[in-house]
Amino acid sequence: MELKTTILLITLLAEVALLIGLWATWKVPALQIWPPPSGKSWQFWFNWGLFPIVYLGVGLLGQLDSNGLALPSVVRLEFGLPLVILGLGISLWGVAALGIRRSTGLPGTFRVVGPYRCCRNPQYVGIIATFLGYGLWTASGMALLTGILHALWYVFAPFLEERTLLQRFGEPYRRYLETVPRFFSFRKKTFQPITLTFLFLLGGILGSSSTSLFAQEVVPRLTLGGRGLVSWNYGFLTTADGDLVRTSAFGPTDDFSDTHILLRLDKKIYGINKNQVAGTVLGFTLTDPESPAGPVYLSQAHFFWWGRSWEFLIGRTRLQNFLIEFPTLRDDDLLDYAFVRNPYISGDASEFDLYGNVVRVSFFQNKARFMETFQVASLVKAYIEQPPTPELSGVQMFSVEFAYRLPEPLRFSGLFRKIGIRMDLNPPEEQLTSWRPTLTGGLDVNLTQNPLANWRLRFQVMYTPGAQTIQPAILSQNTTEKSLSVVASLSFLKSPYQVPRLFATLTGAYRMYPDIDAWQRKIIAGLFYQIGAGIDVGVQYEAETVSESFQWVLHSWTSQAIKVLFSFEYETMFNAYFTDRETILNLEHGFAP
Amino acid sequence: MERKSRGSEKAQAPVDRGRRAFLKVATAGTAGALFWGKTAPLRADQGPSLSSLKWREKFIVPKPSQDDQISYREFQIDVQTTLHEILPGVKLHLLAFNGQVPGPEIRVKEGEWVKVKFTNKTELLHTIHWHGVDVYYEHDGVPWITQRPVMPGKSFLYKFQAYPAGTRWYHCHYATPFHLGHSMHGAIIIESDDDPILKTFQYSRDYTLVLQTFDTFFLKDEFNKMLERMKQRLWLMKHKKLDAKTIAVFKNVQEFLKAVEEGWMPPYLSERNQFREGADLTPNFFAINGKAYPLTDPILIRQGETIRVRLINAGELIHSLHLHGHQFWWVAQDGNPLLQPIKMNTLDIAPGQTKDIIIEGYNPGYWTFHDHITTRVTNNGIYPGGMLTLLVYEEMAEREGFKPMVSLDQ
Repeated sequence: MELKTTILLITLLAEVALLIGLWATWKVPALQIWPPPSGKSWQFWFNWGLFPIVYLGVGLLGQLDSNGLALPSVVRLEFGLPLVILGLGISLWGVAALGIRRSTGLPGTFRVVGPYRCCRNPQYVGIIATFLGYGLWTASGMALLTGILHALWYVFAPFLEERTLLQRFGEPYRRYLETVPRFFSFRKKTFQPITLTFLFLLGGILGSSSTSLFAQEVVPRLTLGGRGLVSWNYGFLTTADGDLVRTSAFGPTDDFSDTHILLRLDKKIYGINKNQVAGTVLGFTLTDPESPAGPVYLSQAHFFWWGRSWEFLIGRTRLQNFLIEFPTLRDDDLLDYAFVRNPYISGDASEFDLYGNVVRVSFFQNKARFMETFQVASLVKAYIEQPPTPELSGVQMFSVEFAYRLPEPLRFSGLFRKIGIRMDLNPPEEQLTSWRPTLTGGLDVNLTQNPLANWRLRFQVMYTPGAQTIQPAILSQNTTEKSLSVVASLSFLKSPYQVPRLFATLTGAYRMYPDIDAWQRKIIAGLFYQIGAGIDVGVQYEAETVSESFQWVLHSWTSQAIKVLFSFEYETMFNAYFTDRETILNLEHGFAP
Repeated sequence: MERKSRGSEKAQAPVDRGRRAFLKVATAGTAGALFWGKTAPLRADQGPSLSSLKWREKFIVPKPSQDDQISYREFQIDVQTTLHEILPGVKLHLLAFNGQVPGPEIRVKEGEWVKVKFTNKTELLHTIHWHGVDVYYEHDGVPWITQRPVMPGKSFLYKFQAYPAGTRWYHCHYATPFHLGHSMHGAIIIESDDDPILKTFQYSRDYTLVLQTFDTFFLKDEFNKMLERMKQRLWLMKHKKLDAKTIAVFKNVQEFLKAVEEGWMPPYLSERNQFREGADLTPNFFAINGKAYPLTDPILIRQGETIRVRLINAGELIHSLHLHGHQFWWVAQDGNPLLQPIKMNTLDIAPGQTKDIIIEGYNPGYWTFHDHITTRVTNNGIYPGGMLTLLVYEEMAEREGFKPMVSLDQ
């Protein structure tokens, strides 16, 4: 008997045994073959003795029996391979979110984290995709057969798990069952990372397969960009007694948050007098240390379509919940002062404040001068990422913005880089019983138009009358109280011979809450030196003082931090055949020019 | 079809020389055409007209005070940004002389004094270089080497005596890969009554074909980058803050080396790159006189007629031009008559070169004349298109037979 036939038989036997285990547990729950009762039980070793055989078997069959099926290369390389990569990615993300112990089926606490917020079985979805994709990729009939048979196990296993988990966790789990789909769903009002990723993949497959099948379309342009940002943070706190103590995150611990990678595929839409481009963006950002959003956040997954004077965007991207972007090291350094925060969350995940699923329409008016734009409206509708318990759905923010904006290439050639107003409206939902409007106005001024030594002033004022809440204690007062926030920033950019070199900035922010007689203020000073294009070293000092009137502050306190940083950013384009409106790096926060 | 570019019409309009002289023997391979007449020069650069001009006169430019003693042929040329349509749906913002693509054709007699007032109506810097014309060096139009570039809104007066006769051309020499690709080029035809080609072939019509290449991505992207840099430099200039190091122009090599010693970083060590993915241009549109096939203007001829076609390669690529159904005479290289005409049907022409051919109308029909590097007979990668035009016999309108259709995708 041939080697591969032997392996096929062994693998099939193991798979059937595993399926019988499931079927037996379904009929006789007391058997508890899956999920196993403990790590030392025979049930645990029954499953985990057979799983490796199956994995190894399918893997080997794919190699020994490859090219057995006459599949077109489009299916193999543009459908199979992406499925494997995507499937592995999703399952690893699931394992990372849940932990290895609970991923093996052993009991643990109930947590809704990472991909589990929008899919009850992301690991299984990933593994099914991997097995299917692997069979297609290797074009092996044996790998495909064993893969599909094993995929059946992952389709049935959740039913057993749900029964067990319902007994174990009771009501919270029942709510979870009702709100989050078993695998994935397209019907949910809110977008889900997994659905979005699948849509992205589907778009890619359609795009690339049409290119290869008919060879008539122009290959899309590919833009890759990203930034590596690492800092050592030295934080201090002033206690009630006036003592200065180090914070827990003091010292040479690498803080990689805001490091991101962005990938964009887009195409020019040809046609008479048609100057349009459409494409899709996928981006991942490393989150703040210990963020509830998990270690890696899917910050960009959207489709866009733009013409000469308009832009349409749908999907996950950075929210435009601010008017002026301030030159701070991290995107959330001025979270309380410069952004319209999400009133529905009380946790510490700044990602939920900064990113969201958006439907956005923008209009530009080209003035007589080349490339000059005038933005008349943007962000008419936005969904903000929901808090960890997925109970909120629907539109959480409506926004409109009117702004005059100087295009980036001509940034020194006018007095105002940006001047505008915007209004954001949070509808009453969940804890809020009234609308919360926020009015923002601001400007970004070139104090000198000297491109070699540019002084720049940024200013933003934000007012909200607050919102009425059912249980004020649950939500942060920062977001629900009446407040007025002012941020101003002065920066200086030295660019000898028109090459940016030295960037110094001083930013002050103050926010007052008249109704509760509270306030908070922050000062940020930064000094960045560009050692090469896109490569910076720098230091940022920040000091924040919060008054004692907040519900969560027992006494007024001051925190300070010194951050030493290194940053690298780069962008490159393949198959460039049309020009850009803006750099892809503008999708994320940047601190230096 | 409405043509936006006045340039193409003017340049393509045949010059009727007023003597529709048909050769007695209108077939190719006549003995008379094998060698030039008795006045044939031994060396191509010693045209018959040389003796009629004094050497000193040719290379010295009169002072402005002497201007009234000389009768100049005067021309006004400016450079402006124009929206040019190569094909329906393919519009480009181009830097163009007098807003024409290619620039206006200048026709002068050999020995005539020429005065060109060149005005810069853009926000970039420019010059005009007279390619293949022997001018006084200060009027050669090479920025920083023979003159300062013409600043935005400013003018420069080019004066020279037209010499030697032949097909020559002019183009902007500032940021040449970019400005030349932006169609800042045009023909200057210096005519001579003693032209051996005219004497030998007695041609009745004269066409100028300017061959062009367009890399639409590069043109637009680099245009934006240049405007960005220039905006900033103009501000510095206005406030008298622009120094040699910022604009990277030095008095001499020693000054440049001194600046490097002082820690100045030359631009070629910076991370900026003018070209996409290295140093190559990848043109996606190819044009003759501003238009790509099927909008190229046909070359008209009648049976028994002899015409002259002047080819100017103003693009970035070498072309291998092939004429169907005819053997033509290659008669001049870079404007200068060859020692002896050469009979051929496929002629290669490198960037910067001009070549003149004589076509004898002995085979009535519709004949294509195209680049035989056939990837350039494309529009944005689709064949046929680009560098292709037709030789059309005028009497074919009344004749029976297959009439040309227009094909855009094969």
